[in-house]
Amino acid sequence: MKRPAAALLLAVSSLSAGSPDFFESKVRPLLAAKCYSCHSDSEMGGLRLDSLERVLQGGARGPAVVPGEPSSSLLLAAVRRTHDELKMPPTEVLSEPEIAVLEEWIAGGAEWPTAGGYAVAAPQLSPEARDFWALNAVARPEIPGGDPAKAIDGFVSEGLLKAGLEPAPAADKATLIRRLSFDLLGLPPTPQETAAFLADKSAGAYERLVDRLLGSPHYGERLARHWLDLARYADGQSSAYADTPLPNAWRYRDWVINAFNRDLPYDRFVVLQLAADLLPEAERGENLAALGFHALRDRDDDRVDVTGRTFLGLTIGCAQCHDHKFDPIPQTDFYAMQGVFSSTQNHRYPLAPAEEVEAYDAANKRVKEQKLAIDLFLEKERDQLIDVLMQRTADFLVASYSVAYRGGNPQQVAAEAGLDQETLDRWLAYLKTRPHEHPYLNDWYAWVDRGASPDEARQAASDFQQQLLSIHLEKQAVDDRNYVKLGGADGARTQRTLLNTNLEFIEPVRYYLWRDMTAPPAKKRGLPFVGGVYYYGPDQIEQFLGGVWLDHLKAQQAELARLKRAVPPAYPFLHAYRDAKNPKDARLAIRGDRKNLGSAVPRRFLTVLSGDPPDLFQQGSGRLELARAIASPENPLTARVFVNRLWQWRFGRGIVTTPSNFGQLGERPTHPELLDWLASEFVDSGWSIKQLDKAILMSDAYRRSSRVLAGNFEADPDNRLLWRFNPVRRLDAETLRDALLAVSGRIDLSRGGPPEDLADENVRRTLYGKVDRTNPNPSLALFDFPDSKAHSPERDVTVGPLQRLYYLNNPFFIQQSSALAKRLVADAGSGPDARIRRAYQLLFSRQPDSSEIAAGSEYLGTDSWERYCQVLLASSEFLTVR
Amino acid sequence: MPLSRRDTLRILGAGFGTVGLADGLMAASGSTPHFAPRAKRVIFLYLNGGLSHVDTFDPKPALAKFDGQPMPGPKIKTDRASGGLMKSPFEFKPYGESGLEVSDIFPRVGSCIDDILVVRSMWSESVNHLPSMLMMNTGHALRGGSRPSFGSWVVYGLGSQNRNLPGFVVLCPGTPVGAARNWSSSFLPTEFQGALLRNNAETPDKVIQNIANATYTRDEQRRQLDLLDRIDSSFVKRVGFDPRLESNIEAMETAFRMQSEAPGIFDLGSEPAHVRDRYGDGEFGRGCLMALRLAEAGVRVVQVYYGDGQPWDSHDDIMTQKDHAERSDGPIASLIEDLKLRGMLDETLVIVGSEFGRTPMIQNSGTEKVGRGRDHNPPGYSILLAGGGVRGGQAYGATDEFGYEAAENPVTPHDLHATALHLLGLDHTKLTYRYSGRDFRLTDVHGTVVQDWLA
Repeated sequence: MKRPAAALLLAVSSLSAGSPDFFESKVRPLLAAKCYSCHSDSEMGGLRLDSLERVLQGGARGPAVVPGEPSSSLLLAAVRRTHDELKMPPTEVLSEPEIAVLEEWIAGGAEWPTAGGYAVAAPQLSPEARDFWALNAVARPEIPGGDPAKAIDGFVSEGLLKAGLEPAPAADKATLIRRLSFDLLGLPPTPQETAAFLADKSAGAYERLVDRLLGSPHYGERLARHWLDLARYADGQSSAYADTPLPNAWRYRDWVINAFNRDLPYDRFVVLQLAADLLPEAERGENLAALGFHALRDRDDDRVDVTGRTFLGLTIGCAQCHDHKFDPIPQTDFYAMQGVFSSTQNHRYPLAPAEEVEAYDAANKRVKEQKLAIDLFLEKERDQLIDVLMQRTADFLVASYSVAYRGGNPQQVAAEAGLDQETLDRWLAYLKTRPHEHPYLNDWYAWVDRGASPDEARQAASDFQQQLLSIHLEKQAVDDRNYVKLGGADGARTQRTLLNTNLEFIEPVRYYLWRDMTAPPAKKRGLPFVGGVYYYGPDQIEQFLGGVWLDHLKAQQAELARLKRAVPPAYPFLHAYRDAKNPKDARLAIRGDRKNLGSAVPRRFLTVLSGDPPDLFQQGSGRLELARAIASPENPLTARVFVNRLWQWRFGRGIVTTPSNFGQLGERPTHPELLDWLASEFVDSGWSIKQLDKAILMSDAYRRSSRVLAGNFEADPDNRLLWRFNPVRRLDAETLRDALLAVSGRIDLSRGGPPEDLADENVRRTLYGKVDRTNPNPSLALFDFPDSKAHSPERDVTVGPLQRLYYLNNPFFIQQSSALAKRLVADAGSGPDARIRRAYQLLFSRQPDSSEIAAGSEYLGTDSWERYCQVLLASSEFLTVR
Repeated sequence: MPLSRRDTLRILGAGFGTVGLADGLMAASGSTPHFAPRAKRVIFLYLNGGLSHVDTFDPKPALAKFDGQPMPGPKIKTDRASGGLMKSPFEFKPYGESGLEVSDIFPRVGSCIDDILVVRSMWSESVNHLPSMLMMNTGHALRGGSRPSFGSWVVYGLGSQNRNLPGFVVLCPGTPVGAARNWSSSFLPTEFQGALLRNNAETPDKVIQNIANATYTRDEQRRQLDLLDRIDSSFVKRVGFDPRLESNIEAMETAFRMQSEAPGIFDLGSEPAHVRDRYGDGEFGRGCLMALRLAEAGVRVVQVYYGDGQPWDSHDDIMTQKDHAERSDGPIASLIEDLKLRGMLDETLVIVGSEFGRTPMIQNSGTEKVGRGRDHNPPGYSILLAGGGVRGGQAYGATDEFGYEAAENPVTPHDLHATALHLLGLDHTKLTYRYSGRDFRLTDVHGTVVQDWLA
């Protein structure tokens, strides 16, 4: 089946010392491995070895390399260890072959390839490499039988005829409407719709049904969800613990829905998603939201990979570390495209007038400033309070002693000693914990445990207070010096400065005492800290303030509240991107190692899909040129890949069963001519998805029964030749949830808008639920909702017992059973048979037979309607489409 | 319809647009290893945040000698500002017949040291938690995407031993860095994903999603299943044979049985008090005891996270390692002892470790308060292995004089994965999955089986 690996696609030149390949494959890796840890960013001895310019400039001792003159080059003397002082690398002697590489390189003129002059040669692809079915131009094949209206069946019948297989008969009408509704809308047909279709005996009944469904606003919702799998859509960016929200991601989701509903031509659909921002305004229209395709995921390499797989069915990502092992995609192609995306930067486009944006930003700034002013005031008060309370430490200890060891009443003791009640309570609680992180209370405990007299306790308490005050002073002095080291308040608030500055610390044991007295509480995961005895935070300190201080605080807080109220609602914006000011080619990462960068690769389209030599992109990042190259009718892949996807969404399996890989390792089409006919028809129709869809849906192949025919099954168990409709399929995650809500009558079919969590009370369509990358919804994941961090060309269909537990016990599932039971009463009254009939119409789009009514009645004789409904919802007939 | 069982299985795996095993039935039936395995299962105790090797299992007298002085050699770029070398506040002493030295914060693990292989030369690349954790758990330090986890690969390769339980269970009382990416099946079929169970849930029935019904009795559910069986059978008759439908009905019965079996496993009250006491009633202790019971019940891979977030991340004060050791020393030792007592240690590979170690230098950056901590240290760290065909009572590899970098026999996470798969009877170069146009491996293009570890 598979042709031998085309590893010989790229001619490998012999490596001479002056060639770029010699440098990239031998010299640069060596420098990177042995020298860069000190001689790149760290510039030890002032020397950098990561550009020719700096190599020639050298370090403190002068140039490192003299091109053509190994014996005069310091670099060589250092690695040979013949230099008096320089012996490099310090901890390791290079091997002879390694030294020889450097010598040869210097002798050859120290050639250092750079991008400017197209140092990376355009790769040459052999004609054999280019000759692959998917890369050959789409040819419009003859229709077997010649009838354009029956083209699809012409191609399919030909295959069946050759194999001597009889096609299955057409499915019955009830099955068809159920199949069509789930496939096109993701919802079951209502009993009225089913009844109307069954009653329509005219010849055009089926076509009218197809047209109605193609015109339904839910059509776009269903197709959009398929597309969002490819676009790895989510409402947040994955992060360590929880998604960083992308609050306007849904605008892209809604754009996709609308695009399918208004039958936006596919070529335009492609261009808008890649480069809407670069189109002239008239051509762009209201389509900037389309950029969400890539803007919701922010890695360049991922963007290259997903572009390739989604639109071209090519695994360009395989060429990130080396030339593609099987397809004619040299490694330079990956970086030629990565340059396009690395020259693109994320950008928020506000969807509000400039004044509104400015007003919002300014109002927020005022709130922030006011908050800071209040915080600073409270911090000052807090510190003063700590100083004041700390002066009475001995009194607090003595009072604690009276309460804990002499049976005193805390209120009374505090009142008599003139001490703050809450602080005394804190002291009592703290002493009970017997802190082990510092020793300063050890003497105190020793005294009082021994049954010290009040005088002795007073003495120990005074000693402790002395120690505490001296630690407090030392801490303040250290903090002051650190403040200077950090460069003042700005540095102290900047994470980067904080991380990179070496500070002074007081002794840890002294710190712990200081912390236990003064520090704010910390919720640090693992080992929380309750807060210092004398610490009173912003929400606790008011009780200590009075007079003008309190008046001031109240006034400031009132002002803050006023400013907050004055903030207008957040303006909407688009997560999108735009070209960087200075577009730049990406540098090739040697063996995919981003620390070992080779030459820059000019931005251009894939070699195999370009002229010879390939045109370089000229405009900005080149993104629009890339988009147009993909959406071109001349591109042999774009139309093939999409028509195959639509086929896959209708038949459960593509004509090419690896929908995102049309390369050597992908599968070959089961019906190559059909694929090409569909592709050319698609382009000729002006890339109309609805026309293509209708052609597929009107075919006999789509309308066949899914019933197994024994003889055919032996010959073609996988149904590759399409002798039947595809086998019974479990409803996917969203369709399952939507179908439950639809038949229970609770579904809210309103369209679009911000996402909400898929809580049990949420009755909107699943498509509108929040998609979380870091913590995916467990119920959706249970039914194979894909990983929204990655392009996902097809859904798994697993049927494990954990799903059955969901049917048995999940509260949402039971909620729908109960709602359905109530609906049956409302719809069909009190007669049990009528209700059973109604249930069968709602769930299965058919009438029950007498044995089914009997089975239901028998069960209901002893059990509840709610549990009966749950069984029907858990039945294979409801949970599958066929 | 005259179709054999084998036909059924063949059809199940084919033609649905899915690649590989498409049905829990097949996974549960178990696949065969490449060669005779030494271990049947894995328990991975994950000390998230970064166990400090130089304070626990890799004694470095040079740190005491040069305490406060700069480490010789070129200045090392750490993640955050760091100062001179810092001696360990803990005492090391030899344990067991092997005389391996362990610090005094892990006395009970020390007492099991003759069953433990201490790998002192782990080497990894990334200085941050997220990529390092993904490397340890998935063999790929990919920040943005995801790859199948170690546990997913193992269950993909070997299947589960108990059809009533997931093959790969993750016990975590909160969320570690990277969340579900650490146990994701990524592009492998979703049935191989780690099932996250909250071992801090108050009652056993909260641990598995949808395991219990709030209102219906067992009898009521039995009657529901009987009715369902009738309805589904008549549906099969109506539409004709389809292998998928048959397995649906079977999965329902499995789920029904699971309801009675699974909660019992998480009901630690059924263990005698003298067993429970040795694990303590902390989250990690409970997790370790559940891991033991899950292993007994045939779960292939159990991973227990020490806690929420990154508790072992002792940037500020190395003394906090002692607090965490107090909560994990007993559970780790008890698990090894009980596996041994129950005759399961030989066939259970226990891994204890973190995403990286901690620097020999003190960290004194402005983000810290105490200033007695250590920064992240990927180039040298220690992990522990026990059971499962590993030779205990030995230390493998070594870091340099100060514990900064693996200096002798460096071991990468890929090597660890390759060796763990080897112990399970799987050849890491042959355990592949076709995705996006190429064959993927847990070890990518890396990984060497460390022969010296094998008993």
